[in-house]
Amino acid sequence: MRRFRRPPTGKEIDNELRFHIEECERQLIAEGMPPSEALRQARKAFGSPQAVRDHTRDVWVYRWADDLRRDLLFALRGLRRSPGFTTVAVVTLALGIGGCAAMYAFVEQLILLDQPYPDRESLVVVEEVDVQDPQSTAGITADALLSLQDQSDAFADIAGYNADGFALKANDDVRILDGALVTPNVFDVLNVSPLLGRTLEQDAADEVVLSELAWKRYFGGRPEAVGSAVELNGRSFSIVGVMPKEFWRGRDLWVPLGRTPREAGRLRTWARLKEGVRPEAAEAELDALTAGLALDREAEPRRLSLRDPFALPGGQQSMVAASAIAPVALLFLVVCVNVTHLQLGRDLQRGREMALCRALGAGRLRLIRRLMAESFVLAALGGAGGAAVAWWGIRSIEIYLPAELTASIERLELDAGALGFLLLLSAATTMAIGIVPALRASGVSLTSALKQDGRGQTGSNRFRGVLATSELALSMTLLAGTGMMGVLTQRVADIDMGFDSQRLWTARLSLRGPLIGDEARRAWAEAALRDVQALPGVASAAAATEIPLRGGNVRRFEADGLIAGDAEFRSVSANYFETIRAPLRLGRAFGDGDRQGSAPTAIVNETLARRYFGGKALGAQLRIGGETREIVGVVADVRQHADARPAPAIVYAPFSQVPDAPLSLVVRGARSREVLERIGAPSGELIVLSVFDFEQALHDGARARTFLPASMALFAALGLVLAGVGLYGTTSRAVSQRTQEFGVRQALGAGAGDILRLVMRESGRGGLTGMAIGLAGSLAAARLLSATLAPQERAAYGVDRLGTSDLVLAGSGAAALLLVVVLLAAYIPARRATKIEPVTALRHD
Amino acid sequence: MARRDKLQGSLDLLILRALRGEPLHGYGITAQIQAWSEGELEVEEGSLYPALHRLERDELLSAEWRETEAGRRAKYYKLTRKGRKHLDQELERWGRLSSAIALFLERSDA
Repeated sequence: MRRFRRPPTGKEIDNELRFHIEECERQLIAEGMPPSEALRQARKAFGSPQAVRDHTRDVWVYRWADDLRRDLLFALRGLRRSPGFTTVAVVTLALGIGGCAAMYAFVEQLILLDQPYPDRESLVVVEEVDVQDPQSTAGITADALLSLQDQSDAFADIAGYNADGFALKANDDVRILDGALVTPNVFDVLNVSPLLGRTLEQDAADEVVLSELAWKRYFGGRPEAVGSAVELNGRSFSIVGVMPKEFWRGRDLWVPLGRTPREAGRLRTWARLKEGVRPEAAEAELDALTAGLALDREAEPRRLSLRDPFALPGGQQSMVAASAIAPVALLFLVVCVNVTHLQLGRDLQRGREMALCRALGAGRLRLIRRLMAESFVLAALGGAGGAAVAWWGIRSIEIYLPAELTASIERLELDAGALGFLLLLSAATTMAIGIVPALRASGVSLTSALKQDGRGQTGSNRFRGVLATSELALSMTLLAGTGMMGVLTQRVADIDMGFDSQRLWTARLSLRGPLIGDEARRAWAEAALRDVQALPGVASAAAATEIPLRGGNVRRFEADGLIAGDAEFRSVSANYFETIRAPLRLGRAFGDGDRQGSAPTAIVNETLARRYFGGKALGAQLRIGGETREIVGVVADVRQHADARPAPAIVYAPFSQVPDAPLSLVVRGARSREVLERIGAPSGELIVLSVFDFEQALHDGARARTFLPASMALFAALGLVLAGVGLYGTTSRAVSQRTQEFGVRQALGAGAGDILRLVMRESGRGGLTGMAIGLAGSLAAARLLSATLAPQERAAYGVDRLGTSDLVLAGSGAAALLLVVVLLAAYIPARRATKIEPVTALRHD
Repeated sequence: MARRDKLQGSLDLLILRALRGEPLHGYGITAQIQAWSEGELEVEEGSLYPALHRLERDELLSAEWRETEAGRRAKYYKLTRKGRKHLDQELERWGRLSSAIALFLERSDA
């Protein structure tokens, strides 16, 4: 009569009680009582049915709560009895869970948050791709855009944009915002409705749409901001709408492209495919257009191509995500293994308890539940601690985040998602760390548990050995990985930028009012530079429209009507190269002869000369920005980014011939404040958009780059400690179990040294196995990482250049460290083994 | 006059003993106890059902809804193996206890 026992429902109980009353009634009737009287008597005898019903129900409720309470109390008692174990376990769990949760919050922002554009599948990006280097992309030309807009079978609509910085003036305070100049149809293409107000009109000129973030941050989130005027880059714009914060992350405002697409140069795009059109069909159309525009017949052939903007991996995110998740996941594994290990250490004691319980009739399931309660409490405590660790971790991440990523990451929060994940993790941890010891402890037979020397535990010893080995392997992987990251970071930090950053700073200026216009700017620049040079402490001063580490301005150029390519185009004052200390390789620098009215000249960098002119650039004619210029000099490469990315091709023009704005003042020596005062900035005419110190910027960048290796190192160190502790535990246990054996050996003449060697050799074996596995694992991981990165990312992190010597360096460093720990962890118990008195050992039973 | 025995431990014992034979429903158990004690013991229904359910919860009894001979549905209880073992232990203890008490009470004061 086996039936699943579940608590009876209220109705069932009612039925049971009613039956009783009816039976009683029938009995009384059978004895001669009249029916109505019988019923009354029966009811009276029964008492209050309601009370009985409640009492009966309570029996079942209490069972549940009662059992739970007892299990938890048992667990707490047990944990309190071994404070050492509890502390270590909770701390390691907290660190593991907290680290994971922090990283989860981070990765969630980076990757998992969806860009909520409706009909994402039909949204694409059209761009120009370098046929020889498919990772190198650029915006499309006006011709291409107009062509696709006018008439396309595949594309419903296409919008173009240029990303740019905007100086927002609010109460004498200037903030630099990242925005974009867009064709007004971009809002339709992306198909997102504004939060407030409206989007840009077709022929709008002075309108601006804000992002929710910018609106909240700079306009207090007030609805009245819509319709008000705001000054951007010296011009007045009217705020017409606010877009929700998920729209186009990373950009704070959108203004109309203003100029016709043709004047705007290259444009990045968003495009929407017509309904039902597959990407292949669109690609075909783009191929036709490529041919039509003759893009593929240039010296550097390019073609129009589609890209899914949401495809992963993309950009630096994948690299960062991978290197963020991996060490934490590894550490978490180590933590779980370690805590399981620690729990197994209490096996002996608990095994006896459990065996006794079993003998007295407790079910195995019941025991497992009881032991799991302990894991649950541990995990709960660990989870609570983890929340604190996660909070702290998130704050640290915010500080050290590389600048390129802060744009797309709002303030990191431990939101519901992260907390939910934390909970899930704690629950998973419970299972992970509890299940094995619980199964083992509850399964131990009474006889073997009662054996004092616990020799019946060899099986468990082997298992523990496996655990220790795996901990070592994981730890080794972590260490080696950290070593490699460290090497890479160092390499990137040592990169030669191509200029001397010592005491070099720059201020970006916007010239307004009377200073607007080529003539005014030219004159002003000449005078300003003269004044600044004259200041004490100023070694050299120059002006440039674009500088390293910030921005860029890519233009198409042609040479001899045949060769064509893209290059950075910037105008610089005559002594620019002298100021930044970039050596001239060939030809001459700009001088007084290069001024307005004289023949247009240009200086190119080595990369351009090499790539497009085979080294023979001097004297060649180059057409860029609508003018033909003669190349009079070749200058050394100056990197645009502080990483391993090679310098782009750059064309420099003399400022006196191309006095564009905004421009940057570049000064070596003195302090920015003094110099700016001297030239009268900031003022109504001279707006200071930004000021920064090259040395400081490079330093900050380097520091941000240490975030990943630093956190990896932290985790690796932790993992190392845990692995060491694990190994120590195993060896210790093994030693104490073999005291008799050691006693016998010593009695038979073995010296302390022999015992020592014996113990250490055995644990050393496990250690080496672990290390070998770990090393193999980390090599595999390195290859995998390298394979998933795009070439540009690889260059950015210098991964390409991770040679065998680096791997050997990192690997052997890690191995050495681990070896020390292994030896130490084995040595201490081993020494204990030698101290055993033969007599005591033999008597120990 | 029937004595109403309310001690929980004893009630459990009575119930278990009553069920050592064939399965019974609640009413049947009260009838059985009354019959075997020749009217001396009468179980209060208010304590019977909580006790029955407690014994069922603790797996000393198992229960099943069945049809009586009269064709009505009732919940029948039966001893489990654990319950049987428990009963034997309790009977033994009870036996020793009552002998001890009897011995004590009959001790002469001499």
